[in-house]
Amino acid sequence: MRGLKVWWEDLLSGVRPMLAKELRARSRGVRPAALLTLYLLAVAGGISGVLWVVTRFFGALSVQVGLWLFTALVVGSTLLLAVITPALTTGAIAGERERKTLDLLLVTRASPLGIALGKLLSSVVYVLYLLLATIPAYALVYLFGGVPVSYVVTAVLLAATSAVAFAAVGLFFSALFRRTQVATLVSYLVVLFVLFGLPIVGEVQRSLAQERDPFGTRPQGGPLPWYLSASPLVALDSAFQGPEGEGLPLLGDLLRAMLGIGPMSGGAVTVQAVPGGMPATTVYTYGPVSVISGFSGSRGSGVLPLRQTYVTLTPGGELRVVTALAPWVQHLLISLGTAGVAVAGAAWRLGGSGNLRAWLRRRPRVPAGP
Amino acid sequence: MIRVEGLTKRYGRLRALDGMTFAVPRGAVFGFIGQNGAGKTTTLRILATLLLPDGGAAEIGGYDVVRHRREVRQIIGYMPDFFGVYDDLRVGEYLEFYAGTMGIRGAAARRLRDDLLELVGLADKRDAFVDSLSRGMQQRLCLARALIHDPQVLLLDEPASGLDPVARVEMRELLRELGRMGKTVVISSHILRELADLCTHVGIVRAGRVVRAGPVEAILAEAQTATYVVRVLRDPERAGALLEGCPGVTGVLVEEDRVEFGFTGDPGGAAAVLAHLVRDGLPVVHFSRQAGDLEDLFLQISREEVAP
Repeated sequence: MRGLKVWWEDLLSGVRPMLAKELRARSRGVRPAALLTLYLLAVAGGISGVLWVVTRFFGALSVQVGLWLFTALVVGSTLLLAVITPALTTGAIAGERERKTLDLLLVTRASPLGIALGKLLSSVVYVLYLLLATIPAYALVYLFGGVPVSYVVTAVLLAATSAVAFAAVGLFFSALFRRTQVATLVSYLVVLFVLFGLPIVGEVQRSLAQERDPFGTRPQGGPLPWYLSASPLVALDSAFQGPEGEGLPLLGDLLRAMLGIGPMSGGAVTVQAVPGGMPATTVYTYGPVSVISGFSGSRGSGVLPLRQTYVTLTPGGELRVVTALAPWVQHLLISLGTAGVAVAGAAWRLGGSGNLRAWLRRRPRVPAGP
Repeated sequence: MIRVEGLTKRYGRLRALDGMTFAVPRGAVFGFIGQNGAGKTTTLRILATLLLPDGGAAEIGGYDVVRHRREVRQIIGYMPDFFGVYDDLRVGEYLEFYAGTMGIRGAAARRLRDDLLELVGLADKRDAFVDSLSRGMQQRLCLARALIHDPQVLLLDEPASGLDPVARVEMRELLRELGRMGKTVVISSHILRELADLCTHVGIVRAGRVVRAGPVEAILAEAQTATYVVRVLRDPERAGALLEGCPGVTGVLVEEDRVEFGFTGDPGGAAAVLAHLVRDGLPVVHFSRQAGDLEDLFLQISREEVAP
């Protein structure tokens, strides 16, 4: 119990001063203002671009404009944050090492975990500040309508958690490598892979599975493999399904082309009521992935439903209803899990390993049992 | 206060520490002397819990530096030979930050900040940015940082390196003040003159091992041969010749009015040599033992260790 209290105090001795120092240092000079300005300019440019494209090529403003704009905002800010976030943390520990301040930090009471957490939190606060600055832009979406509030809330939540994960990954590599440049390079490779590489991996895996199962003896469709949700783009697309099962415009089409998701038969099918679960519904089947409940749980506020229902097509031609955690929930869990592991890894590299070894040596050696 | 026993540390094939053994009593100012690469920094880093030794043991204030890292960190203040400062912070904020990392916050931290800045003579720089300070000021600021949790033991690795003579004197005054405050101080240096009049104890390191250690007087007494300089108004050659005949005198060197010689014996013997010169009618205007006493010893030890 006393050990826990000491652990907590040492953690706070790292988090508190580090957070205060980093935020103070980050808010000095023109850099933060410049970054925010650039970020908002990029967002504004994106919005104007989308509106221009929509009006130019689709003539009059279609009913889809709201959704188009929403997509552009969500995907744009997610990508921008993915680009900005690692840059905020890759120097966090490698920079201390390069500036020869790390030793001074390690001889204090602050625990390695406290230091790592303080570094992460300070950049997370900064990222959230950027994200917060874009929220007013979502008001534009409501000028055109067609997007429930739950979409916006979920989207911001998604963008924030993936930014946290990317920040933690940057921090981990910052602790792992001696030099900031190496840490930055590796972090961006990982971010790129997660953003764009994962959908490709998913596609490869899907076509391999098809290869192995040429006669279609396994059920088709169902939820995407969970690890694909690590990519915020996949999570975003599969989180936002229109009433007819289509995802976000543009992004959805792109991913669908890659993952082979697309209308197969098309048409209404009645699904029997599941006792204690789903009421009898008419669904539109698309295969391999069809989503029923895109809208059912969202009544214009809050977040999207936590679980999503899929219809899979068995080899016998039967439709079966499968429920699984919604992709955006999976993304949330994966991101937070990654962040946790990355921070723990950074702390380990910072000196946690030595602390653990010291602690183990400290235990009196108990002779092995009989 | 500090006990180091048989410490070993290897970096690949390089044997940085090879059975390092010494002890520092409470309240001592311990000069840790040796050439670059002798193992001073490695030893201090192990004592500061930043490095794990391969073998041997070390404890500070009764706490083992490997098993009781946390307790050791509470009682030591460490200043590395090379360190950086956060250039985007002000001097006051810098100290408050480190106070925070030692779990000191609020009014206590602010009071401590002002007291320490007063002590190291940077009180008027509180709102200056750290990177606007001179090297000597940064060094003193780093020392203030090491003192923030009122440690009983200070481990200072080359605290005066890279300083100009004035800053060096200021640093030395500060260290003397710390000694008066009753702190146990370990200062490493390869410049002996810097430590000669500051330390109560010295340890001379060579190739990862302490070859001589103990109170300064005892060490100096061990230094049998010292270099003396005599200046005469005239007849330096005659003085040289006279000196050659004195017992214990070796290596007489005559340069214009200056005669340098090595002497083995106690100070009484040296006085006898001087009396002998004066009795013979030589106009002696200067008779002194060379300033770098420890330096002589150090060179002597280096030579004798290399010889076999």
